Amino acid sequence: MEFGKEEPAPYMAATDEELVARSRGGDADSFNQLVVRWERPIYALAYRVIGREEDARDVCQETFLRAFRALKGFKGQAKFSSWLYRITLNLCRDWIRRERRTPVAQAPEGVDLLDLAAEQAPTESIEDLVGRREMGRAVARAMALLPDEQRTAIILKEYHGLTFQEIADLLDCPLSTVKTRLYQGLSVLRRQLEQSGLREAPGSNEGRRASGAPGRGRHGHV
Amino acid sequence: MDMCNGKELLIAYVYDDCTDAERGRAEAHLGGCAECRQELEALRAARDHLAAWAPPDRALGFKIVQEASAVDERARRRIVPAWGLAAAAVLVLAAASAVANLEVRYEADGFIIRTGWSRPAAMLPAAPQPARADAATWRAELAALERKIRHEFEAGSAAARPAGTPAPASGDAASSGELLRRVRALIEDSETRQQREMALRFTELVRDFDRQRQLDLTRIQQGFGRLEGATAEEVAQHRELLNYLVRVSQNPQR
Repeated sequence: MEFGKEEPAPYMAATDEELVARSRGGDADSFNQLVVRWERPIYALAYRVIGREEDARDVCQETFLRAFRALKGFKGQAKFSSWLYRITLNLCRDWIRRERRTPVAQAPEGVDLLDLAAEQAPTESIEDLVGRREMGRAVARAMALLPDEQRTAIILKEYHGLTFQEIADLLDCPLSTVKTRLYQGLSVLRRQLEQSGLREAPGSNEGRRASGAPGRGRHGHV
Repeated sequence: MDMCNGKELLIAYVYDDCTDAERGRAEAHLGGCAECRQELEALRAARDHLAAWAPPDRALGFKIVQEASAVDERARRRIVPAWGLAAAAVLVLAAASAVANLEVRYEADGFIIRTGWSRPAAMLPAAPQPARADAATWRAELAALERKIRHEFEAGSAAARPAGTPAPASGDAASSGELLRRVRALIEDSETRQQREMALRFTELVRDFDRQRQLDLTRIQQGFGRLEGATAEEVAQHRELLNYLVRVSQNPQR
Protein backbone atom coordinates (compact mmCIF):
# COMPACT_ATOMS: atom_id res chain seq x y z
CA MET A 1 0.00 0.00 0.00
CA GLU A 2 1.50 3.26 -1.05
CA PHE A 3 1.62 6.10 1.36
CA GLY A 4 -1.14 8.62 0.83
CA LYS A 5 -3.12 6.45 -1.57
CA GLU A 6 -6.52 5.17 -0.64
CA GLU A 7 -7.32 1.55 -0.06
CA PRO A 8 -8.65 -0.11 -3.18
CA ALA A 9 -12.41 -0.51 -3.27
CA PRO A 10 -13.85 -3.79 -2.03
CA TYR A 11 -13.99 -6.39 -4.70
CA MET A 12 -17.73 -6.45 -5.11
CA ALA A 13 -17.96 -2.70 -5.61
CA ALA A 14 -15.91 -2.81 -8.80
CA THR A 15 -17.63 -1.39 -11.84
CA ASP A 16 -18.60 -3.49 -14.82
CA GLU A 17 -15.78 -1.93 -16.80
CA GLU A 18 -13.20 -2.83 -14.17
CA LEU A 19 -14.43 -6.40 -13.90
CA VAL A 20 -14.48 -6.74 -17.66
CA ALA A 21 -10.91 -5.48 -17.88
CA ARG A 22 -9.79 -8.05 -15.30
CA SER A 23 -11.77 -10.79 -16.99
CA ARG A 24 -10.13 -10.06 -20.31
CA GLY A 25 -6.82 -10.73 -18.61
CA GLY A 26 -8.08 -14.27 -17.92
CA ASP A 27 -9.39 -13.71 -14.41
CA ALA A 28 -12.35 -16.07 -14.13
CA ASP A 29 -13.16 -14.81 -10.65
CA SER A 30 -13.80 -11.33 -11.96
CA PHE A 31 -16.04 -12.67 -14.67
CA ASN A 32 -17.97 -14.69 -12.13
CA GLN A 33 -18.54 -11.46 -10.22
CA LEU A 34 -20.15 -10.12 -13.36
CA VAL A 35 -22.22 -13.28 -13.64
CA VAL A 36 -23.48 -12.88 -10.09
CA ARG A 37 -24.36 -9.31 -10.85
CA TRP A 38 -26.20 -9.90 -14.11
CA GLU A 39 -27.62 -13.42 -14.05
CA ARG A 40 -30.95 -12.35 -12.54
CA PRO A 41 -31.71 -9.60 -15.08
CA ILE A 42 -30.62 -11.80 -17.97
CA TYR A 43 -32.71 -14.69 -16.75
CA ALA A 44 -35.71 -12.40 -16.25
CA LEU A 45 -35.32 -11.02 -19.77
CA ALA A 46 -35.13 -14.46 -21.32
CA TYR A 47 -38.04 -15.76 -19.26
CA ARG A 48 -40.36 -12.95 -20.23
CA VAL A 49 -39.38 -13.02 -23.89
CA ILE A 50 -39.72 -16.77 -24.46
CA GLY A 51 -42.08 -17.57 -21.61
CA ARG A 52 -40.51 -20.86 -20.55
CA GLU A 53 -38.64 -21.33 -17.29
CA GLU A 54 -36.15 -24.05 -18.16
CA ASP A 55 -35.38 -22.71 -21.59
CA ALA A 56 -34.86 -19.27 -20.14
CA ARG A 57 -32.35 -20.79 -17.76
CA ASP A 58 -30.50 -22.37 -20.67
CA VAL A 59 -30.50 -19.12 -22.59
CA CYS A 60 -29.14 -17.33 -19.55
CA GLN A 61 -26.34 -19.84 -19.10
CA GLU A 62 -25.53 -19.75 -22.79
CA THR A 63 -25.41 -15.97 -22.71
CA PHE A 64 -22.65 -15.95 -20.13
CA LEU A 65 -20.74 -18.72 -21.82
CA ARG A 66 -20.75 -16.84 -25.09
CA ALA A 67 -19.87 -13.59 -23.39
CA PHE A 68 -16.93 -15.23 -21.64
CA ARG A 69 -15.63 -16.69 -24.84
CA ALA A 70 -16.10 -13.48 -26.79
CA LEU A 71 -14.53 -11.21 -24.18
CA LYS A 72 -11.53 -10.51 -26.36
CA GLY A 73 -13.78 -8.97 -28.97
CA PHE A 74 -15.62 -6.74 -26.52
CA LYS A 75 -13.81 -3.44 -26.57
CA GLY A 76 -16.18 -1.43 -24.43
CA GLN A 77 -17.91 0.53 -27.18
CA ALA A 78 -21.21 -0.24 -25.52
CA LYS A 79 -22.21 -0.95 -21.95
CA PHE A 80 -21.42 -4.45 -20.81
CA SER A 81 -25.08 -4.98 -19.88
CA SER A 82 -26.21 -3.88 -23.33
CA TRP A 83 -23.82 -6.37 -24.84
CA LEU A 84 -25.26 -9.12 -22.64
CA TYR A 85 -28.80 -8.13 -23.54
CA ARG A 86 -27.95 -8.31 -27.21
CA ILE A 87 -26.57 -11.82 -26.84
CA THR A 88 -29.64 -12.87 -24.87
CA LEU A 89 -32.10 -11.43 -27.38
CA ASN A 90 -30.28 -13.15 -30.23
CA LEU A 91 -30.47 -16.44 -28.39
CA CYS A 92 -34.16 -15.87 -27.69
CA ARG A 93 -34.78 -15.13 -31.34
CA ASP A 94 -33.01 -18.33 -32.29
CA TRP A 95 -35.03 -20.25 -29.74
CA ILE A 96 -38.33 -18.89 -31.02
CA ARG A 97 -37.38 -19.63 -34.60
CA ARG A 98 -36.34 -23.14 -33.64
CA GLU A 99 -39.49 -23.85 -31.73
CA ARG A 100 -41.55 -22.33 -34.52
CA ARG A 101 -44.41 -21.43 -32.26
CA THR A 102 -45.54 -18.51 -30.19
CA PRO A 103 -44.07 -18.72 -26.75
CA VAL A 104 -46.50 -19.71 -24.09
CA ALA A 105 -46.20 -17.53 -21.05
CA GLN A 106 -46.33 -19.52 -17.87
CA ALA A 107 -47.18 -18.27 -14.45
CA PRO A 108 -44.89 -19.35 -11.66
CA GLU A 109 -45.41 -23.03 -11.08
CA GLY A 110 -45.31 -25.07 -7.95
CA VAL A 111 -45.70 -22.08 -5.72
CA ASP A 112 -47.73 -23.04 -2.72
CA LEU A 113 -50.00 -20.29 -1.62
CA LEU A 114 -49.44 -21.06 2.04
CA ASP A 115 -45.68 -20.88 1.61
CA LEU A 116 -46.09 -17.63 -0.23
CA ALA A 117 -48.26 -16.29 2.55
CA ALA A 118 -45.69 -17.33 5.13
CA GLU A 119 -42.93 -15.48 3.31
CA GLN A 120 -44.86 -12.29 2.80
CA ALA A 121 -45.16 -9.52 5.32
CA PRO A 122 -48.28 -9.90 7.44
CA THR A 123 -49.67 -6.71 5.95
CA GLU A 124 -50.65 -8.47 2.75
CA SER A 125 -53.81 -10.51 2.96
CA ILE A 126 -54.42 -13.80 1.22
CA GLU A 127 -56.83 -12.00 -1.02
CA ASP A 128 -54.13 -9.65 -2.13
CA LEU A 129 -51.81 -12.55 -2.72
CA VAL A 130 -54.32 -14.39 -4.78
CA GLY A 131 -55.10 -11.19 -6.59
CA ARG A 132 -51.45 -10.62 -7.39
CA ARG A 133 -50.94 -14.15 -8.54
CA GLU A 134 -53.98 -13.98 -10.71
CA MET A 135 -52.82 -10.71 -12.12
CA GLY A 136 -49.43 -12.15 -12.87
CA ARG A 137 -51.07 -14.94 -14.80
CA ALA A 138 -53.32 -12.58 -16.66
CA VAL A 139 -50.40 -10.38 -17.63
CA ALA A 140 -48.41 -13.38 -18.78
CA ARG A 141 -51.30 -14.52 -20.94
CA ALA A 142 -51.79 -11.07 -22.41
CA MET A 143 -48.08 -10.62 -23.14
CA ALA A 144 -48.00 -13.97 -24.89
CA LEU A 145 -50.54 -12.68 -27.37
CA LEU A 146 -48.32 -9.84 -28.52
CA PRO A 147 -46.03 -10.03 -31.53
CA ASP A 148 -42.43 -10.68 -30.55
CA GLU A 149 -41.14 -7.20 -31.35
CA GLN A 150 -43.81 -5.45 -29.32
CA ARG A 151 -43.42 -7.82 -26.41
CA THR A 152 -39.63 -7.42 -26.45
CA ALA A 153 -39.85 -3.63 -26.57
CA ILE A 154 -42.27 -3.55 -23.63
CA ILE A 155 -40.12 -5.95 -21.62
CA LEU A 156 -37.00 -3.87 -22.16
CA LYS A 157 -38.78 -0.65 -21.25
CA GLU A 158 -40.91 -1.94 -18.41
CA TYR A 159 -38.62 -4.37 -16.61
CA HIS A 160 -35.14 -3.21 -17.52
CA GLY A 161 -35.61 0.54 -17.56
CA LEU A 162 -33.91 1.14 -20.89
CA THR A 163 -34.51 4.42 -22.66
CA PHE A 164 -36.12 4.58 -26.10
CA GLN A 165 -32.71 5.25 -27.61
CA GLU A 166 -31.09 2.31 -25.85
CA ILE A 167 -33.84 0.00 -27.05
CA ALA A 168 -33.44 1.36 -30.58
CA ASP A 169 -29.70 0.65 -30.45
CA LEU A 170 -30.28 -2.82 -29.08
CA LEU A 171 -32.91 -3.80 -31.63
CA ASP A 172 -31.20 -1.99 -34.51
CA CYS A 173 -34.29 0.00 -35.44
CA PRO A 174 -35.28 3.68 -35.59
CA LEU A 175 -36.41 5.57 -32.52
CA SER A 176 -39.90 6.14 -33.85
CA THR A 177 -40.30 2.43 -34.49
CA VAL A 178 -39.57 1.73 -30.84
CA LYS A 179 -42.21 4.21 -29.74
CA THR A 180 -44.75 2.80 -32.15
CA ARG A 181 -44.15 -0.75 -30.96
CA LEU A 182 -44.51 0.34 -27.36
CA TYR A 183 -47.72 2.18 -28.02
CA GLN A 184 -49.28 -0.66 -29.96
CA GLY A 185 -48.18 -3.29 -27.45
CA LEU A 186 -49.41 -1.32 -24.48
CA SER A 187 -52.72 -0.65 -26.15
CA VAL A 188 -53.33 -4.33 -26.80
CA LEU A 189 -52.39 -5.16 -23.23
CA ARG A 190 -54.73 -2.51 -21.94
CA ARG A 191 -57.70 -3.98 -23.79
CA GLN A 192 -56.78 -7.52 -22.78
CA LEU A 193 -56.45 -6.68 -19.13
CA GLU A 194 -59.65 -4.65 -19.12
CA GLN A 195 -61.44 -7.64 -20.61
CA SER A 196 -59.97 -9.89 -17.93
CA GLY A 197 -61.78 -7.68 -15.44
CA LEU A 198 -58.83 -7.01 -13.21
CA ARG A 199 -59.26 -4.35 -10.62
CA GLU A 200 -56.68 -1.60 -10.41
CA ALA A 201 -53.38 -2.25 -8.73
CA PRO A 202 -53.72 -0.83 -5.23
CA GLY A 203 -52.24 2.55 -4.45
CA SER A 204 -50.81 3.37 -7.83
CA ASN A 205 -53.09 5.52 -9.99
CA GLU A 206 -55.03 6.70 -7.00
CA GLY A 207 -51.89 7.89 -5.33
CA ARG A 208 -50.73 9.71 -8.39
CA ARG A 209 -54.08 11.34 -9.02
CA ALA A 210 -54.34 12.48 -5.46
CA SER A 211 -50.97 14.13 -5.50
CA GLY A 212 -51.78 15.73 -8.82
CA ALA A 213 -48.36 14.99 -10.18
CA PRO A 214 -48.04 12.81 -13.23
CA GLY A 215 -46.13 9.61 -12.89
CA ARG A 216 -42.46 10.41 -13.09
CA GLY A 217 -39.56 8.27 -14.14
CA ARG A 218 -40.82 4.83 -13.34
CA HIS A 219 -37.81 2.62 -13.23
CA GLY A 220 -38.17 -0.72 -14.82
CA HIS A 221 -37.81 -3.38 -12.14
CA VAL A 222 -36.73 -6.82 -12.98
CA MET B 1 -46.63 16.48 -32.97
CA ASP B 2 -50.21 16.28 -31.85
CA MET B 3 -51.05 13.60 -29.37
CA CYS B 4 -54.32 12.71 -30.98
CA ASN B 5 -52.81 11.97 -34.37
CA GLY B 6 -49.41 10.56 -33.66
CA LYS B 7 -49.08 8.68 -30.44
CA GLU B 8 -45.36 9.06 -30.00
CA LEU B 9 -45.71 12.04 -27.74
CA LEU B 10 -48.29 10.26 -25.67
CA ILE B 11 -46.14 7.18 -25.17
CA ALA B 12 -43.12 9.32 -24.36
CA TYR B 13 -45.20 11.04 -21.71
CA VAL B 14 -46.56 7.76 -20.37
CA TYR B 15 -43.03 6.48 -19.86
CA ASP B 16 -41.65 9.87 -18.94
CA ASP B 17 -38.87 9.35 -21.43
CA CYS B 18 -38.95 12.77 -23.05
CA THR B 19 -37.31 16.18 -23.06
CA ASP B 20 -38.65 19.01 -20.94
CA ALA B 21 -39.98 20.66 -24.08
CA GLU B 22 -41.89 17.54 -25.03
CA ARG B 23 -43.29 17.24 -21.54
CA GLY B 24 -44.51 20.81 -21.68
CA ARG B 25 -46.25 20.21 -24.99
CA ALA B 26 -47.85 17.03 -23.73
CA GLU B 27 -49.21 18.58 -20.57
CA ALA B 28 -50.51 21.52 -22.51
CA HIS B 29 -52.42 19.23 -24.85
CA LEU B 30 -53.70 16.97 -22.08
CA GLY B 31 -55.11 19.96 -20.30
CA GLY B 32 -57.54 20.47 -23.14
CA CYS B 33 -58.16 16.95 -24.55
CA ALA B 34 -60.34 14.54 -22.54
CA GLU B 35 -59.86 11.69 -24.97
CA CYS B 36 -56.11 11.76 -24.59
CA ARG B 37 -56.47 12.09 -20.85
CA GLN B 38 -58.59 8.97 -20.77
CA GLU B 39 -56.16 7.05 -22.92
CA LEU B 40 -53.28 8.19 -20.73
CA GLU B 41 -54.96 6.81 -17.61
CA ALA B 42 -55.81 3.53 -19.32
CA LEU B 43 -52.24 3.03 -20.47
CA ARG B 44 -50.92 3.86 -17.02
CA ALA B 45 -53.26 1.31 -15.47
CA ALA B 46 -51.99 -1.31 -17.91
CA ARG B 47 -48.44 -0.45 -16.91
CA ASP B 48 -49.29 -0.89 -13.26
CA HIS B 49 -50.59 -4.37 -13.94
CA LEU B 50 -47.41 -5.30 -15.73
CA ALA B 51 -45.52 -4.95 -12.47
CA ALA B 52 -47.24 -8.10 -11.20
CA TRP B 53 -45.51 -10.30 -13.74
CA ALA B 54 -42.29 -11.67 -12.26
CA PRO B 55 -40.15 -14.62 -13.31
CA PRO B 56 -40.00 -17.65 -11.01
CA ASP B 57 -37.72 -17.07 -8.06
CA ARG B 58 -35.19 -19.82 -8.40
CA ALA B 59 -31.53 -20.25 -7.65
CA LEU B 60 -29.35 -19.70 -10.69
CA GLY B 61 -25.79 -19.83 -9.45
CA PHE B 62 -23.96 -19.92 -12.75
CA LYS B 63 -20.23 -19.98 -12.61
CA ILE B 64 -17.42 -20.11 -15.11
CA VAL B 65 -15.03 -22.87 -14.09
CA GLN B 66 -11.71 -23.29 -15.83
CA GLU B 67 -9.51 -26.35 -15.76
CA ALA B 68 -6.62 -25.79 -13.35
CA SER B 69 -7.95 -22.40 -12.45
CA ALA B 70 -6.37 -20.19 -9.82
CA VAL B 71 -9.06 -21.28 -7.34
CA ASP B 72 -8.15 -24.95 -7.67
CA GLU B 73 -4.47 -24.19 -7.27
CA ARG B 74 -5.10 -22.33 -4.06
CA ALA B 75 -7.30 -25.11 -2.72
CA ARG B 76 -4.66 -27.67 -3.52
CA ARG B 77 -2.00 -25.69 -1.80
CA ARG B 78 -4.18 -25.27 1.25
CA ILE B 79 -4.59 -29.00 1.65
CA VAL B 80 -0.88 -29.84 1.42
CA PRO B 81 0.50 -28.21 4.59
CA ALA B 82 -1.70 -30.21 6.96
CA TRP B 83 -0.44 -33.44 5.45
CA GLY B 84 3.02 -32.05 5.00
CA LEU B 85 3.58 -31.43 8.67
CA ALA B 86 2.55 -34.91 9.69
CA ALA B 87 4.50 -36.46 6.86
CA ALA B 88 7.54 -34.40 7.71
CA ALA B 89 7.38 -35.54 11.31
CA VAL B 90 7.21 -39.16 10.28
CA LEU B 91 10.07 -38.70 7.86
CA VAL B 92 12.27 -37.13 10.48
CA LEU B 93 11.65 -40.00 12.83
CA ALA B 94 12.27 -42.53 10.10
CA ALA B 95 15.47 -40.81 9.04
CA ALA B 96 16.69 -40.70 12.58
CA SER B 97 15.91 -44.36 13.03
CA ALA B 98 17.65 -45.21 9.79
CA VAL B 99 20.75 -43.33 10.79
CA ALA B 100 20.94 -45.11 14.11
CA ASN B 101 19.87 -48.36 12.54
CA LEU B 102 17.16 -48.71 15.11
CA GLU B 103 14.19 -50.91 15.27
CA VAL B 104 11.40 -49.64 17.42
CA ARG B 105 8.39 -51.75 18.16
CA TYR B 106 5.56 -51.30 20.56
CA GLU B 107 4.46 -54.54 22.11
CA ALA B 108 1.83 -55.29 24.72
CA ASP B 109 4.08 -54.62 27.64
CA GLY B 110 6.14 -51.74 26.38
CA PHE B 111 8.57 -50.59 23.76
CA ILE B 112 11.21 -52.87 22.38
CA ILE B 113 14.25 -51.26 20.90
CA ARG B 114 16.88 -52.97 18.85
CA THR B 115 19.95 -51.13 17.75
CA GLY B 116 22.61 -52.00 15.21
CA TRP B 117 24.45 -53.73 17.99
CA SER B 118 24.59 -57.40 18.61
CA ARG B 119 22.52 -57.59 21.77
CA PRO B 120 19.03 -56.19 21.87
CA ALA B 121 18.92 -53.25 24.21
CA ALA B 122 15.55 -53.42 25.93
CA MET B 123 14.71 -51.28 28.91
CA LEU B 124 17.98 -50.05 30.27
CA PRO B 125 18.05 -49.71 34.04
CA ALA B 126 17.87 -46.25 35.43
CA ALA B 127 21.26 -46.52 37.12
CA PRO B 128 23.65 -45.86 34.24
CA GLN B 129 22.63 -42.35 33.48
CA PRO B 130 24.95 -41.04 30.79
CA ALA B 131 25.29 -37.37 30.18
CA ARG B 132 22.02 -36.14 28.76
CA ALA B 133 22.36 -36.29 25.00
CA ASP B 134 21.69 -32.94 23.49
CA ALA B 135 22.90 -30.75 20.65
CA ALA B 136 26.00 -29.76 22.54
CA THR B 137 27.10 -33.37 22.76
CA TRP B 138 26.76 -33.86 19.03
CA ARG B 139 28.72 -30.77 18.30
CA ALA B 140 31.38 -31.82 20.74
CA GLU B 141 31.55 -35.17 19.02
CA LEU B 142 32.02 -33.57 15.64
CA ALA B 143 34.63 -31.17 16.94
CA ALA B 144 36.52 -34.03 18.53
CA LEU B 145 36.34 -35.99 15.31
CA GLU B 146 37.66 -33.05 13.36
CA ARG B 147 40.53 -32.62 15.77
CA LYS B 148 41.41 -36.26 15.53
CA ILE B 149 41.36 -36.16 11.74
CA ARG B 150 43.56 -33.08 11.71
CA HIS B 151 45.91 -34.75 14.09
CA GLU B 152 46.04 -37.78 11.84
CA PHE B 153 46.84 -35.58 8.87
CA GLU B 154 49.70 -33.95 10.68
CA ALA B 155 50.95 -37.25 12.05
CA GLY B 156 50.70 -38.81 8.63
CA SER B 157 52.56 -36.04 6.88
CA ALA B 158 55.22 -36.01 9.63
CA ALA B 159 55.69 -39.76 9.25
CA ALA B 160 55.94 -39.40 5.49
CA ARG B 161 58.78 -36.93 5.88
CA PRO B 162 61.28 -38.44 8.23
CA ALA B 163 64.32 -36.35 9.02
CA GLY B 164 62.94 -33.26 7.29
CA THR B 165 63.40 -34.35 3.65
CA PRO B 166 60.84 -32.90 1.15
CA ALA B 167 57.75 -35.07 0.77
CA PRO B 168 58.20 -37.46 -2.20
CA ALA B 169 55.18 -38.18 -4.39
CA SER B 170 55.24 -41.94 -3.81
CA GLY B 171 55.49 -41.46 -0.09
CA ASP B 172 52.50 -39.18 -0.21
CA ALA B 173 50.43 -41.75 -1.99
CA ALA B 174 51.21 -44.41 0.58
CA SER B 175 50.64 -42.11 3.49
CA SER B 176 47.43 -40.74 2.07
CA GLY B 177 46.07 -44.27 1.74
CA GLU B 178 46.95 -44.93 5.34
CA LEU B 179 45.49 -41.61 6.24
CA LEU B 180 42.27 -42.43 4.51
CA ARG B 181 41.99 -45.67 6.41
CA ARG B 182 42.57 -43.97 9.70
CA VAL B 183 40.05 -41.28 8.94
CA ARG B 184 37.51 -43.86 7.95
CA ALA B 185 38.10 -45.70 11.20
CA LEU B 186 37.59 -42.51 13.12
CA ILE B 187 34.35 -41.81 11.33
CA GLU B 188 33.09 -45.30 11.98
CA ASP B 189 34.00 -44.92 15.59
CA SER B 190 32.15 -41.70 15.77
CA GLU B 191 29.18 -43.24 14.08
CA THR B 192 29.04 -46.04 16.55
CA ARG B 193 29.22 -43.58 19.35
CA GLN B 194 26.46 -41.58 17.83
CA GLN B 195 24.35 -44.66 17.35
CA ARG B 196 24.76 -45.56 20.94
CA GLU B 197 23.77 -42.12 22.07
CA MET B 198 20.77 -42.13 19.85
CA ALA B 199 19.73 -45.49 21.25
CA LEU B 200 20.11 -44.10 24.73
CA ARG B 201 18.04 -41.12 23.87
CA PHE B 202 15.33 -43.34 22.55
CA THR B 203 15.31 -45.53 25.61
CA GLU B 204 15.05 -42.48 27.80
CA LEU B 205 12.12 -41.36 25.81
CA VAL B 206 10.53 -44.75 26.07
CA ARG B 207 11.17 -44.84 29.80
CA ASP B 208 9.45 -41.51 30.16
CA PHE B 209 6.55 -42.79 28.16
CA ASP B 210 6.26 -45.85 30.30
CA ARG B 211 6.56 -43.89 33.52
CA GLN B 212 3.79 -41.69 32.32
CA ARG B 213 1.79 -44.71 31.36
CA GLN B 214 2.23 -46.14 34.86
CA LEU B 215 1.18 -42.88 36.35
CA ASP B 216 -1.86 -42.75 34.15
CA LEU B 217 -2.78 -46.28 35.03
CA THR B 218 -2.42 -45.53 38.69
CA ARG B 219 -4.50 -42.47 38.35
CA ILE B 220 -7.10 -44.41 36.46
CA GLN B 221 -7.06 -47.04 39.15
CA GLN B 222 -7.48 -44.41 41.78
CA GLY B 223 -10.22 -42.91 39.76
CA PHE B 224 -12.05 -46.18 39.68
CA GLY B 225 -11.41 -46.59 43.32
CA ARG B 226 -12.93 -43.23 43.95
CA LEU B 227 -15.87 -44.26 41.92
CA GLU B 228 -16.34 -47.24 44.09
CA GLY B 229 -16.09 -44.98 47.07
CA ALA B 230 -12.57 -45.88 48.13
CA THR B 231 -10.22 -43.04 48.97
CA ALA B 232 -6.52 -42.81 48.16
CA GLU B 233 -5.71 -44.16 51.58
CA GLU B 234 -7.95 -47.10 51.10
CA VAL B 235 -6.34 -47.84 47.79
CA ALA B 236 -2.90 -47.67 49.41
CA GLN B 237 -4.15 -49.96 52.12
CA HIS B 238 -5.37 -52.39 49.52
CA ARG B 239 -2.01 -52.37 47.85
CA GLU B 240 -0.20 -52.92 51.15
CA LEU B 241 -2.49 -55.74 51.92
CA LEU B 242 -1.78 -57.28 48.56
CA ASN B 243 1.98 -56.92 49.05
CA TYR B 244 1.69 -58.51 52.49
CA LEU B 245 -0.24 -61.36 51.06
CA VAL B 246 2.32 -61.83 48.32
CA ARG B 247 5.13 -61.89 50.86
CA VAL B 248 3.27 -64.20 53.14
CA SER B 249 2.53 -66.54 50.29
CA GLN B 250 6.21 -66.58 49.43
CA ASN B 251 7.22 -67.20 53.02
CA PRO B 252 4.65 -69.50 54.43
CA GLN B 253 6.59 -69.95 57.67
CA ARG B 254 6.23 -66.31 58.54
